[in-house]
Amino acid sequence: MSKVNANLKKRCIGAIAVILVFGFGIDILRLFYFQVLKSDEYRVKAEAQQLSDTLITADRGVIYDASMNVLAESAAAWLVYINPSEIEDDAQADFIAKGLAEIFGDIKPETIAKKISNRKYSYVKIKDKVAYNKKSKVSAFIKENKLHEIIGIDPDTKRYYPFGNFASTVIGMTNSDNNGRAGLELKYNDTLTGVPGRIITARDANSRLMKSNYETKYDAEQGTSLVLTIDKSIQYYLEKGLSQAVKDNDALSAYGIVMDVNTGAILGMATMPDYNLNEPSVLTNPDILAELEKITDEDEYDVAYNNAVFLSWRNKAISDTYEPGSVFKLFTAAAGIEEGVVNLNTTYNCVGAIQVADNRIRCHKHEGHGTQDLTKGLMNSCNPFFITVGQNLGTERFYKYFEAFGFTKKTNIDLPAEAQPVADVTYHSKENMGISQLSSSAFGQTFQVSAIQMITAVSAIANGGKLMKPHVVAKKLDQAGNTVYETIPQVQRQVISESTSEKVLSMMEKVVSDGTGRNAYIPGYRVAGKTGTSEKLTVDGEYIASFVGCAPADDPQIAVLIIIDEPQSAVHGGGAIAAPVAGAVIEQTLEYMNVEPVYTPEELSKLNAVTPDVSGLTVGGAKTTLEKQNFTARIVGNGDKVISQYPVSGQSIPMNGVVVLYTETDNTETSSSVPNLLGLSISEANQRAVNSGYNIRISGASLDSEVISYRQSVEEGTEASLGSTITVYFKTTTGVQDD
Amino acid sequence: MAYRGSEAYDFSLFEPQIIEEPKKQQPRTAKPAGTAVKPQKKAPARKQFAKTTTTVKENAINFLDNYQVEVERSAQQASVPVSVKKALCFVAVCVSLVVTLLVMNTRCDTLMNEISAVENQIEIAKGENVRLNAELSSIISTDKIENYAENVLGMVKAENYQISYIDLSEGDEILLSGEKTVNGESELSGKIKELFAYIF
Repeated sequence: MSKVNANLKKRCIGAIAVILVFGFGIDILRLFYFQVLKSDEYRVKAEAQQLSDTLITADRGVIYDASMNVLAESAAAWLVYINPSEIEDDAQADFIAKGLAEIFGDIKPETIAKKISNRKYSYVKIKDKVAYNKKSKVSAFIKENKLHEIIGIDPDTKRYYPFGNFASTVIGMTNSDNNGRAGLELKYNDTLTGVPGRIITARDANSRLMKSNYETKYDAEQGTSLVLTIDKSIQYYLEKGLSQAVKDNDALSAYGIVMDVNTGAILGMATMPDYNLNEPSVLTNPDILAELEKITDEDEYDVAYNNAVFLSWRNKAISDTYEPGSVFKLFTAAAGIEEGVVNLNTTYNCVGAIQVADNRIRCHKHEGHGTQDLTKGLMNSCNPFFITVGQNLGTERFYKYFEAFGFTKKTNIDLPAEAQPVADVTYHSKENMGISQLSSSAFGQTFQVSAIQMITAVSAIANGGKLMKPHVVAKKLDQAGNTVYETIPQVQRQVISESTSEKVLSMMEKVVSDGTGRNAYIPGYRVAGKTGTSEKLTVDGEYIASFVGCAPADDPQIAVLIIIDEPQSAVHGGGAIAAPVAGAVIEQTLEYMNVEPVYTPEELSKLNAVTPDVSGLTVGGAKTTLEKQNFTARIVGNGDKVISQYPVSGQSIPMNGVVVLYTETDNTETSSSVPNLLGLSISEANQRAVNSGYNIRISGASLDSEVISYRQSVEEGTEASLGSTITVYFKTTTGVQDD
Repeated sequence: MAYRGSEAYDFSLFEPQIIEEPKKQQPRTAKPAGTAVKPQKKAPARKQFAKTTTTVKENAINFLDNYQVEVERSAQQASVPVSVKKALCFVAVCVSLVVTLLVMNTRCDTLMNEISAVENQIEIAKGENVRLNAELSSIISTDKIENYAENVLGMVKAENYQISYIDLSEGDEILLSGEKTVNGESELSGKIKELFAYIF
């Protein structure tokens, strides 16, 4: 009996074991299949089902100028979208389109209506980078009209450029994906871009987001910030000068660079016309818009418009090449002196032309400059003289310096799209440089360089012969403001000796004081420079005018290059139109840098005088006091005593200026119409202004006896207070032609 | 002892009777020593009455004993064991902890939401700060200030020669004029000199 029970028991255990093994075995195998073989697939599915992963866009780093003024900064913004599939009917679609268009202001209702016309879509972006004030209005619109299922708002970021057009071609901008598209934003995109953050939130059984305790947040890290070498004030002086140059000369464009000659740091870089960084795709130039308006075909118009927009983003100081013209004579002279081919006493007799192979190359002064030494040759910008110096150097040595000054390679400045010099395309290679190419190259024709190459090479002449690597970024800062990288000035090579550098600088100073660069002369400062004018190789009959200068000549700190592309003015020489711009930029920059002016007695004698205090005196006494100091008195009213005066005491006005004396209380402010002060000499302009009751402030080459006024700060016919000061700009057009 | 003061029973009725208590009904330890009944000789005349009285007394004692036992048993039943008390305390602590935890969790959740909302507001405020600063910068840009100063206010830039440059290459020092500090000796010699000067 017990044996039977034992067997039964064994069978039962066996059966249960079989059932268990079979039953659980299937489960184990299934688990193995899901957990091991298909783990990746199901993990992804599970995560998608159970977790919500939201990306937090990282703010881009800030861009500062050298004085830590913010030039570009990112901030939170929003993106407004519509889910068309939830729209009930056309009436509701129209209502939404009108409502949103009214809030945004810059989108037409029809545009929104068109976007949401296809009801199959569930996500249509209406506008990104929406600021908080407009986002609040959209939120209120949604709440008021119960449109939560239709209109949505997502987080976004927006890049702000506080100064709009300021340094636009250097800074560049970002695209809608927050990636750099041009300028420094593009070049330093990886540096500026931060690390995006994430918010991972658990979902409940109904796919709703669970509370914050089921949420893991990984904060976004802001990108590295950049501190530029560009100084806001110097950049402003440069932009102002270039903008005025385009206007005065009806030029296609103007561009320029201000460089620290000792470090290669770019203090200012601009291209005019420029564009607004906050609205990079909007054209504002009326001339370009007028041209575009002539296009009737819509597609053609769009293409032309886009091309014009892309062109406005171009940093011509980096990306364009130009014919340097006579400015290049500096390098021919430097190479000649360094190689001992010429010295400061070498003379040459210019007869107005020189025969080179089968060509007769003429000097810009057809009758010839006569016998002149090297300095005089540079001052006169004599072409035959420098052709001769080039020929004496020979191809080998000329090319050696051409290469050493950096004209055959990119400067590798930290900006994108730098023009690549190409042998036998942009310049003559050594192998293909015959006598004709050598001769034309020696005075700056038949080849092209970029503006950045030119100013880097001129800085080498100014700083004692060291070719520096130009740079725009001075420092990189982390999120906490700590410096993580600092640019160290990099000397590429010694091109010429210090003594050669000094000799060339002294010649350049003469060019400004007595030569073709007189319009860049600044009383109190020693400016060295060279003018240049060249015919464009690519466009017939068009010119490029340029001027390069450095100051102070005895201890150069800055170099300034101004290029005016296709000027339409009657005079198109660099000395006539580019030098005054460079002079103004140099003067303001040196003042800003607190470089003390040192005046010669001659300069002091022509400076302005300070008005005395004559208020309270009798009219006769006041007149006598003013006349003793060579001022003219203009009396307003019939009173016996001077109640007030304009300009007030202590103000600076030109010698022989006018002081308006008011003798009655009821007519203390008398205004009149400003006269035309253009096309006059200094004395004529001053006399005309004084006769009308105004004073003038002289700006420009004031020491030259042949200067003529070409601009006035207050336009003719404008009502202005009597005695007020009008700045009149003077320049000379005599003896400054160099082409 | 507990029954002595009771008016429901007249214990004097049972005084002459000496009843041998059954072994199993020995007074419990709880019974006071003074209540022990001493054995006495039986009286022949009053045998029947005594017998009856003895029965009543026995019944009464039995009743009392039973009652006492019942009371003690119920008292024993009423007193909760220490282990149960500890368990109850433990449960109570656990419950209070759980409740506290829940309250804290809820509070934490609320605070987290508040922090999240404040962080959100800070982000918005930062964004607004940047936007407004950008607007401000565009309004007070250098060119606009210069245009306004020159064209509206009629201001003119200072000339270079009007600026006085100060040489600070040898340090930024000032010389104060005032009373000199002199010691007594020099003061005395000064006075003597003054005196001589006055005399001669």
